[in-house]
Order: sequence, then C-alpha cells, then structure tokens
Amino acid sequence: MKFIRKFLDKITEKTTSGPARFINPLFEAVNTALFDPDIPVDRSPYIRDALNAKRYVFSVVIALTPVLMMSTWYYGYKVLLMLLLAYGIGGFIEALFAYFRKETISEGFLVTGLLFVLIFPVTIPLGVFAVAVVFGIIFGKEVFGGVGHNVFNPALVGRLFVFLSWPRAVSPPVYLKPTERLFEYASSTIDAVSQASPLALFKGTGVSSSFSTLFLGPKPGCIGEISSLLIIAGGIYLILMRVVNLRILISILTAVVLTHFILSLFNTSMMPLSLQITGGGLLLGAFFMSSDPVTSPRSNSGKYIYGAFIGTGVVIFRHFTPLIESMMFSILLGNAFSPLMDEAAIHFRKKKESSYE
Amino acid sequence: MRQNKCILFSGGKKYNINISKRSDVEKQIVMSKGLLELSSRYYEFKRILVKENEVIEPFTGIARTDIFSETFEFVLPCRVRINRIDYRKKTVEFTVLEDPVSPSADLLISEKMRRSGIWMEIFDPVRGSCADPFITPFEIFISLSNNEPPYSGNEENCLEHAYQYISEIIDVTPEFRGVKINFLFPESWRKIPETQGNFTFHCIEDKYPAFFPGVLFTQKKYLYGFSDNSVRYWHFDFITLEKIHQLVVKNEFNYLTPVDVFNCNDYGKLNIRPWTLISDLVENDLDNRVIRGGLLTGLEGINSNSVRPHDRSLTFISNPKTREMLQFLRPGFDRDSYSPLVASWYFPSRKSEVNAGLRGEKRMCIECGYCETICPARLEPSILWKLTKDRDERFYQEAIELGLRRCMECNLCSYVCPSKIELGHTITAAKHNYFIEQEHCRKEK
Repeated sequence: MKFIRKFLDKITEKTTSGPARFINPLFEAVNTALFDPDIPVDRSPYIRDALNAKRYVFSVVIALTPVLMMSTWYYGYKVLLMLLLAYGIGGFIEALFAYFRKETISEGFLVTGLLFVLIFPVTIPLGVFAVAVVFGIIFGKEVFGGVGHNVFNPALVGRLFVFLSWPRAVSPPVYLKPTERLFEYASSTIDAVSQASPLALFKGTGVSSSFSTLFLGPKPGCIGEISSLLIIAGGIYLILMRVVNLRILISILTAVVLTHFILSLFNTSMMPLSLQITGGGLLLGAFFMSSDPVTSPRSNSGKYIYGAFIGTGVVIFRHFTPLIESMMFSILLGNAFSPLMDEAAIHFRKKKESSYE
Repeated sequence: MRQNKCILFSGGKKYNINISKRSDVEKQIVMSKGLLELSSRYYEFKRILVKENEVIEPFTGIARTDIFSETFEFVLPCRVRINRIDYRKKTVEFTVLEDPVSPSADLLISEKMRRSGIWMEIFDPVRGSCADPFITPFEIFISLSNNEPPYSGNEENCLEHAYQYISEIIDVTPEFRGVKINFLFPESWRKIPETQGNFTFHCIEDKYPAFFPGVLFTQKKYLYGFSDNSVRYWHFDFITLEKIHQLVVKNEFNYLTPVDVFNCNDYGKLNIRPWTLISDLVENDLDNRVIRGGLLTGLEGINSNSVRPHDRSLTFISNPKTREMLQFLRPGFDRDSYSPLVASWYFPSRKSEVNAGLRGEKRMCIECGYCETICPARLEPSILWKLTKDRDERFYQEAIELGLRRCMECNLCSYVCPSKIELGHTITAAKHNYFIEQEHCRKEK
C-alpha cells in the first residue's frame, strides 16, 4: 500500500497549488477516504475522539446493505445499476458544488444515494430516476447550503418531484413480482408477472397478505420495502451504535398504534395493525428517513413531538386519502415543522432554566 | 528528584529526561532561570513594580493589574534577581536565588499562595491548569442520594460506599488530584465520617443549595460580579465523572507534576520545580508535544517556556505518524473513543494508542448529538455553537437563555465531535465576550 501513499503524496502539491487545482475537492475526498489524515491539532483538547464523519456515515450504509443485497437477488442487477447511477450523479453534483463553494466533499451523499435507490420501484425508467436524483440533491440539499443545512430529506424531495411529474412510473398500481432473477434486467413495462403491494391489495380487495410475506418478505413494492425483518435488523444495529435516535422511533410507533386503535373504534373495516406497520414504507421511513439527524428536531422533547406528528400523519393519510404510500408526505411535513417543534421545546426549557438561576 | 528516569509513552515510546547528574539537578533547582509573561488572553499587566538587577523577596509584588474592578499583584514564591525587563513584549526575566519550596514546606507555601491572591486555587477536575483566574473552579461538591448507582439499597453504610467509590476514581485520575472535595448528603444519613484528606462532609440541608438530588457539581467563583451572587454552581453527575475518568486515565500519559501545587510524594511519576525550563527537562522534542496542564483544556508548551507554579502537570503526547488505510472500515480496537461505533468502546480497560492528531477531517455539523450526551453541564453545545459561531451579539441573549453561563469549559464537546468542530472554543469565547460586555454595562451605569 506504500506506493499508493507515495503516489498520493506526489500529487498533493499539484492539486493544492499547482495547475490541477480544480480537482482538489475530488482529490481530497479520495485521499482522506483512503488514508487517515495526519493533521495535528492546534488547539485544546489535544486528544480527539477516533470517531469521524466517515465512520459515522458509513455505519448507515452497512445497516442498509442486507436490504440492498436481498432486493438485488429478487429484482435483478438493475438495482445495482441504479445505485451506481445515484452515486455517480450525486457525487458529481456534490463535487461541482464543493468546487464552486471551495469546500470539501462531504460523505453524506453515500447515504442519500443509497436511500434514493431504496424508495423507488425497480420498474422506474432510469431517466426518471436520474431526474429524481438531480432534483433531490440540488433542490433538497445544495440550495440550502449543503450537508447539515438542508430542511428536507433530499431523497424524499426528489421522490416527491418525480411522483408529481410521472405518477405512474413512481407509484404504479401493480409492482413487479419479486422472484429470483439476479441476472435479469427489470424493464419498465410490467408484463404478466406483476403483483399489487400489500396495502393496495387490501384497499382494493380487502385481502390481507400473509404474515410471512409481510414480515420476512419478499413483498412487492419499492426496492427497500422488500423485507421488514432486514430493515428492523439494520435499524437495531444503528440504535445500538447510537446513530439512530430511539426517541423518534418509539414516538412514531406509539403514535401509529394509538391512532390506529382510535380510528378502528369508528371504522370496522380498518386494516389489521400488522399490515399497517409492515405493509408499506413505514419501517424504512421510521428507521432511516425520519431519524436523519439534520432534518429532525435537535431537542429531545422536540423529537417526541416530531415522531408523534409523523406517526399520526401516516395513519390519517392512509385512512382518509387515496395516497397509499403516505410515509413520504408525513416525513416531509414533519421536516417542515421541525424548527417549530424545536422552538416550542426550547421555549419550555427556557422557563425551566430560568428557575435555576 | 529522581535521576535518569525513563518513562514509557502511550505509544510505547521511551522518553529520556535530560538530567544526568545529581549535582546538575541541584544546580538547576537553585539557579533556574525563569521568564514571566505579563499578559495573557484575558488580562494584561498595567504596571511593572520592579527594576532591573533588583533582588526580590518571596511574595512581593512584581507587576500589578486590574482585572475589571479588582487589583491584583503578581508574586513569585521564591527569592529572585530580576535580570531584564522587556516593556514592549511585557516579559520579565529572572534568576531564582533561593528556592523556599521544599517538600516539607509545601503546605506553608500553598497557604501563602492562597493568601497572596493571584494564585488562584487551580483545582479543576477537568483542566489540569488554568492561567485564567476568571474560569477556575476550585472545589467539587458531590451531593449524594439513595438513587445513585454505587449506594442504592443500604442506607447505613452508603456514605462509606460512596466515599470508597469516588476516592477510587479520584485516586487514579491525576486530573482530579488536589481537588477539594465536599460531600453533601441527606439529613437522613446520620453517620457522619470525619474529614479525610481533601474530603469534607456536609449536610445538604445545612448550607448548600442542591438543585438536583444526587448530583455532583463544582463551585466556581467569579472575581468580577456579573450578578450580586458571585458564587455559581455547575452541575455534574456521576456518569460524567466516570466519563472524564475513562477518557483521561484509560490512556496512560506522562505527567510531570510541579512540586509545590500539592503534596505529591506518593504520586509515582517525576516531580519538578516551578520555573524550570521545559527544554532542560526533555530532549528530542520534535515528535512530541508538551501540554502544560490537562489534555482537554491545557495550553501547548514551547521548549523555551518554563514550568509555572500554577501548572498542574506537564503532559507529553506524540504527534500523529502513521496513516492507516481505510480506517473507517476497521473495527478499531486500538482507537480510543466515546462512541460504540468504534470497537474499543466495548473494552474500556484495554489500552489504546492516542496521539495529538485530529483523527478525521473538519466537516459541517451533522447534528449527531454526541456533544449533548457528554456535556457535564447538560447543555446542548451544538445549538449554542450555532448561535455563537458568527459572533453576532444579537443571538447572545438567546444563548444565555439556553444556559451559556453554565458552560464549564471542559472541552469535552470538542473531544467527541465526529465532524471535528471546535465547539468548546467558540462557546467559551462567546461566554467571555458576554461577561466583558456585562461588565462594561455595569461600569457605565
């Protein structure tokens, strides 16, 4: 590995001040990803934690890898093509903005790119998918000032845009039936092997899917919804690693269960609770989208309010509107209100604080 | 003073102390040269009271300054001859003629220093030393209750349990040494032990306002009054105590301890006299850093600097050398961390290699919340940082309402930040700016 290090050291001078200055953000990203930086600290504290942004972001990628592998097995290699496309476009836009802003490339697009793949059905045309990625990253993230400043989840912003533009492509009435087709290319036209998603099936015919389909999978739907078990496993890994905040998760699930029971008092033809939780994108959204630290409230009490808002919203949307996949809308609404929730939480805290002094 | 001492470094490197003969040592003690820098980040000495080639008795004033409304004189604990005064750089060079500091006289010296005023009690649990008299906590108050982990269940000897538990932590943590520790306990615990060493015992209901039961807090005294009540309380809990203990003690660093700060016969490591030049103590200093004071809040020492009496310790830490390939994919058994994402978190007793590297790149805040979980004062450092980073005074009031004044400047938030943001420095600077403004407002009135 020494020759790589020597090679990189050789280029370092040229990219920092030499003629190849314009690729400096890209070079810096590659250089720091391959090797630990050796910057000495210039201020106290003189010891720093070994945790850095790369390790933090990469833990989410690790948690989502099993889901991605299973969906590749059932939907074919197009999933990996989409991942490549998302990473390519996302990385390019990130590098472009980093160059103009004279900043470094942040690692955040690794997670965003992966989420882009997981929230679309595999039958989406690659062109539409590319539009979603471009729109989501530019108007969901970069316009606000890059990683750490975005108000909405970039992946969901992209999905919302193409959902309104090409509704049939993003949320078709029937999805491709997941079977073992690793080496097949899933084309955009859905032929004989199609299946409605569990929620649509229940809404249309009143038939609930079996528990093993709902929980273990594979169940038809978006790429990331293939198995609830793998999503829960990845989520538990992130909770143990303290990346996902447990407060939001508990709050969402409690709100979903409570709202479900309250509504089922008035409506006897309500879907079963297991279908409510595992049927759609609720688990994927709860574990990996709503718990995104940047777009969720910062204060702890705000997190409870945020989770309750999203959980209630999902069930109400599903029950009263024709939108079946309502997790996207309620998370985006929650993101929009999260500064307000912070304000409220801080307002209560100030009162408590002033009683100490 | 021991001779020819080799000390093992955290990275396994050996470090040689330069002193070879006993006569050299004695000569050095008696004839050590010193340099007084008469200004710092927070204060500047207005008037120098001595002349060149003058011999000064111990504890007579050398320079005078006003720190807001109070006047302080700077003194030395030994008889010195003034060699040179540089008015432009505000430095005074001197030679120590007679060193009254001897191991037996430690208590007396510390008593004198306490009375002379400017030598604040530099007894701070987190930072090793502190040159700034404004921000120096000098005592820890530990209030006990039945709910705390080490003594739940048995009310009769719970105080002894607590004492043992805490004294074990404090004994092995150099940063806690010399701290005056007060136990506060509920009235229902009748059995009051006698004062032992630094430990004293009080009843909560008698004297001290304990806001939360079962909380440890430091008391900090401000020299200038931003309010009528000059004594403030900082909250601390047991988990925090253990956190600091783990961070600082898990990795064995080298501590050199100036002799006159506290009686350190049993301390084990090398003891040195104040005003010894750092370059006299160590050689080969290129690969290592000398930190005056604690690792979390100390200042970097340059070899031409001398050891000051108020430095709690000198710490040596190596600069980063090796560059690991794809470190974020490795489990990291030998990397110290507060986060469970690094494998060493699961093996707290295992030693890890630590260096003075940043160990990551500076990135934007991703609001991961690690700073909130480690903050001893239970603040939200990320919010405070966002409010104060632009030095916009409009947001100060909001930061104050969120508890900016309660920040105890321990720099733990900077330590844990995965994006390597200097949270602690920004918040501290904002806090000082706020206090200075308050003082100006008070004077104008």
